[in-house]
Amino acid sequence: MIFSLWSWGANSHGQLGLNEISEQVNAPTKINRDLWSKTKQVACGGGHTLLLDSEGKLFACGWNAKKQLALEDDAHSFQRVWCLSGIKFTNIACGWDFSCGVTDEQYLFVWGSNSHGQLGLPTEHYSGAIKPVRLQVRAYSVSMGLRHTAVINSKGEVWVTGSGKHGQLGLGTDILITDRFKKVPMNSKFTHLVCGQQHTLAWSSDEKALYVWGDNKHGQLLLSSEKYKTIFKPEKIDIDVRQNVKKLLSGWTNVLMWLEDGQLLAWGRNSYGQLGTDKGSEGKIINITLPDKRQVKDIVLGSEHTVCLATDNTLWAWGWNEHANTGTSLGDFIFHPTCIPLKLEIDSKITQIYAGGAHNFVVSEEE
Amino acid sequence: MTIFHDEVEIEDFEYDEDEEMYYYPCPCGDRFQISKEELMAGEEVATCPSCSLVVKVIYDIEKFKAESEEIQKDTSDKEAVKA
Repeated sequence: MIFSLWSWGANSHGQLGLNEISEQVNAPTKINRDLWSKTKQVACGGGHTLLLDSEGKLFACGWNAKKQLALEDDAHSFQRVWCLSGIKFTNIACGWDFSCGVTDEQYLFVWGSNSHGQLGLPTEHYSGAIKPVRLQVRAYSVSMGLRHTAVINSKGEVWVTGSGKHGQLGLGTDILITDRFKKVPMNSKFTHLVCGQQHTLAWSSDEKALYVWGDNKHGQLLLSSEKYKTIFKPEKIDIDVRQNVKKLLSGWTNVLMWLEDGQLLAWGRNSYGQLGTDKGSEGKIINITLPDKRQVKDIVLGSEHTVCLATDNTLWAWGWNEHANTGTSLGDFIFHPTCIPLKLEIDSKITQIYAGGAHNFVVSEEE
Repeated sequence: MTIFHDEVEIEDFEYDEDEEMYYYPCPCGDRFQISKEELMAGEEVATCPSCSLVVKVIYDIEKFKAESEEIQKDTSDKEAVKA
């Protein structure tokens, strides 16, 4: 089996791992120098990328101004992070300029910018660029936004830290910033969690209910943006979904839910085609479908674009495209699911897809 | 008419004292930027060096000028004490 890693999109900080800085890379491009055998996961921040291999080792490239790579210097190709640590990571996530890793014992390590307390570390002792610190926090799910972080713990509770100026902490109007993790007061048990630019959503599988809080300027909380600009405490939203959720995802100001039966529900901002349609639609749920009844195998969101893998091994994308975010050269905005040209070897299959910011990664496997 | 990607309050920008520049994240991975000098002159459009998106800076120019002068005064006072 041969594994290949491909990347495309914005590359202003070398976040594509192609050993160069450029404004953008227009089409999926193979990364030649692999230091690892099998990619387990990739996480994309604003201008940086983390990669986790199947042995639990961490690699990073891109912007490092806030030490979000946990390396000494910037890196334009993937470099091994923290090679003497002996720590085995099982999950990774990136915020705008901060990062985290979850160990095989579910402990949360955080590093990068702590400007708004988004690492859950006291800002009076931890300012500037922070090296990896292990928190007394166990994370079964973790998501990072522009300036806040949210985790689900073993009990299914949601805990948050960082900026709450736009309600994204869900702790009410009294706590608009915190540099220690605090529990969001909700009684449900949560399974899915996602942070957008300035909002947070959590899904409870038991209750089949969606809870939302934060910035609603573009209807990203599924509430009327005229009536509710900001929601400071979690609101339970009935979206009439009575099945399991495969993924709950968020761009900066748009949200997507992938359901067990294959449906894609999207809502929020649609200025650049984020919702895969050219119809005005703020505050409404859009049902996105791939052409010719293709089924979804996986789906990921960047800041303002979406990449979707179909079960027939084709890749589709829509949304903002100024940096060839969608892997096509068809204009700055892609309003409908559009096929990404990817020159795969015969007998190759795309097995993993990742996006964040304006950049993307896919993993292919050759038999 | 300019179409703004967003409207962002000046407090949400990060200020680099050495460069005298204000920065806010851009979804392309780079940062919107506007200088203190531009803000003092009443400019309210922060641009991104890597893409075409622009944001409107929400600030009160009179207050901004007054605060900047205050900081300048503080700095020169300190320098005077040192001297």
